[in-house]
Amino acid sequence: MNQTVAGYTEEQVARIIRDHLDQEFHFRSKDSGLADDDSLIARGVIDSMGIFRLVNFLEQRFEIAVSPPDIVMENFRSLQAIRAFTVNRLHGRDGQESH
Amino acid sequence: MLFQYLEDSARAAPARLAVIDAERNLSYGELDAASNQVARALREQGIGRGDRVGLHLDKSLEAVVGLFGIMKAGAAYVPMDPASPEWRVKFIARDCALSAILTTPAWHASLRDVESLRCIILVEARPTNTLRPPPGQGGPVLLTWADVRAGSSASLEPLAEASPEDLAYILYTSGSTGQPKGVMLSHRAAHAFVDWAASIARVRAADRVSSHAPFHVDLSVFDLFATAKCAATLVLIPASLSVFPRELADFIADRHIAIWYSVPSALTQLVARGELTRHAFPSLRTVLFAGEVFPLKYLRQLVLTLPRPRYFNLYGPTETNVCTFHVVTPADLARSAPLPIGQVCCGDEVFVVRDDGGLAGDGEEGELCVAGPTLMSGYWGMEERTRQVLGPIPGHPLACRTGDRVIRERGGSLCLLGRRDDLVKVRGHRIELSAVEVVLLRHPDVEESAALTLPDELTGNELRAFVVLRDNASTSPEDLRQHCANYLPRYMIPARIDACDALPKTTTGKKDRVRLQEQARQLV
Repeated sequence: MNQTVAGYTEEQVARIIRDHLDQEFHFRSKDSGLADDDSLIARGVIDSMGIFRLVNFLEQRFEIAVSPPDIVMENFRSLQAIRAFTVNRLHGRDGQESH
Repeated sequence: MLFQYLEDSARAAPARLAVIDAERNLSYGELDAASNQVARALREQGIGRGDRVGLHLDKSLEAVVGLFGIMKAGAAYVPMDPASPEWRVKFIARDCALSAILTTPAWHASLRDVESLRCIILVEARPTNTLRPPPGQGGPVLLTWADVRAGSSASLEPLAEASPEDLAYILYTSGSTGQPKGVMLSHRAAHAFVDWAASIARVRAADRVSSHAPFHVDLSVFDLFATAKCAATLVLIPASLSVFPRELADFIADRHIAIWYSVPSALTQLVARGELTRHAFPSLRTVLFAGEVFPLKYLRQLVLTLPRPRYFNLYGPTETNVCTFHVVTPADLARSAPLPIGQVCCGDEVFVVRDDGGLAGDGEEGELCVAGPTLMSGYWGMEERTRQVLGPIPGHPLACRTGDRVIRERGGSLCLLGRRDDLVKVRGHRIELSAVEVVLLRHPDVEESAALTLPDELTGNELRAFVVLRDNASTSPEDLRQHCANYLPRYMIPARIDACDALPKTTTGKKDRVRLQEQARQLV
């Protein structure tokens, strides 16, 4: 987890995403805490408008491209899924930058 | 009574699928039997005609079984969004003095101190027989779903005194004082709408009808009861899917949905982001939409992409369910004017009342008032407010004032002009702006508040707010949004809250809504 991709470690990516979600999509639930693999939709964190605001955030914050076929449950269902998707895209970005 | 649709379909086609929920389903026979078990369990606790029972569950087979069972017991179901904050859930439970509630185990501790509750039925996400209620310490009787389903599934004795005027359900909607208000709907009102809607939509036996709207929104009345009436199959749309338009489009195609009813913003998302051209949707025959204005740009694209179905614009506040309708024509799509709300339906009558109190003629504006069988019975516990809305108008002894301004065109078609007050729509949800403002004012650091909407064609209206904070207050916009989340349903939480030194006011000292909008637009 210490390796960086496009200047971010996976841990940093995870924290940036989690902080953003906490701020933008705060929620009240009977039990506290949001685990890495909790379903964000089932927990009421993201709704149909939220998903596109989140995509905009990822594109701007990480300078990655997200296209419609990417916006599927597999990539956005949990914190873990979003992190994995973002890191994957950062690898793509990294590969295009000259070393 | 609404549950007779279910009983008749169960007699005629017991093996036909009634409801599909992901991999699970129930036939009409099974749904009928299971709802009898719920009705029996409630009656055994002394709950019946004239009572209210809360339905505080995610959309599921259990929720559908529950609402039919509640009505069979003679009570009215009060659907509540499980994602509502605790304040709101308890407010509603106390406001209409629920005798019982169907909810999940996580909510038991919070709800057991609602004084009116005699019974709590706990339904788990994945029903098992392992849940045991904690030992009784007084308070409401606790039943598990397993307890309920263990009872006899024989039909109950019909209640001799049951009448179509009895309440079928109470739908809570935004109230201008910040407290939700309960719209009471009778079996008679629901029947008038369902009978007309099933016919206009041409629901056929074994059609797949989508269930997109939550059960606490009145669009669900069509989904649930038109389907039951016609012995069609209700396909529950998983909550997660409606968040991903691309996958939602796949679902509609794969499940062969024939009849779709939703707010326009769900359809605009499908058109703009669902990549609909990947599918042919051969089964889709009827598309109904209601709840907000459908931006023509997206409706045009939708009809172009999916030309086969008939498209209907349905109109009506929760207080009257649907009272007018308009079939979309190619001529509508060629114009730039918004779609008409159309002609009266469901056996209702409509009147346009001018500001001077007289009835408007063709080409004149006024407030739309509705009389007829789809009318609500009133607002729960609010006689004064009910009298302001339900009462005599020129031409009729009992009509409902909708608060919508309309104009009647030549030919009789009605067009919506706007509202006199501060009621707005956000993605089809009704929001009293003052309710948002009142909640913000409850925060100790907020001295003044103003809520407003910024229109956006693709996402619908966006809810915003401005606040004037006390001197030296350290509250952040995030704190304030969290504060809103403690009282308001998600759709009523402003997307953005900004602090300012003063709210723009008009010469009469009222909040200047126009300048507030400009102010909001200028923010980056």
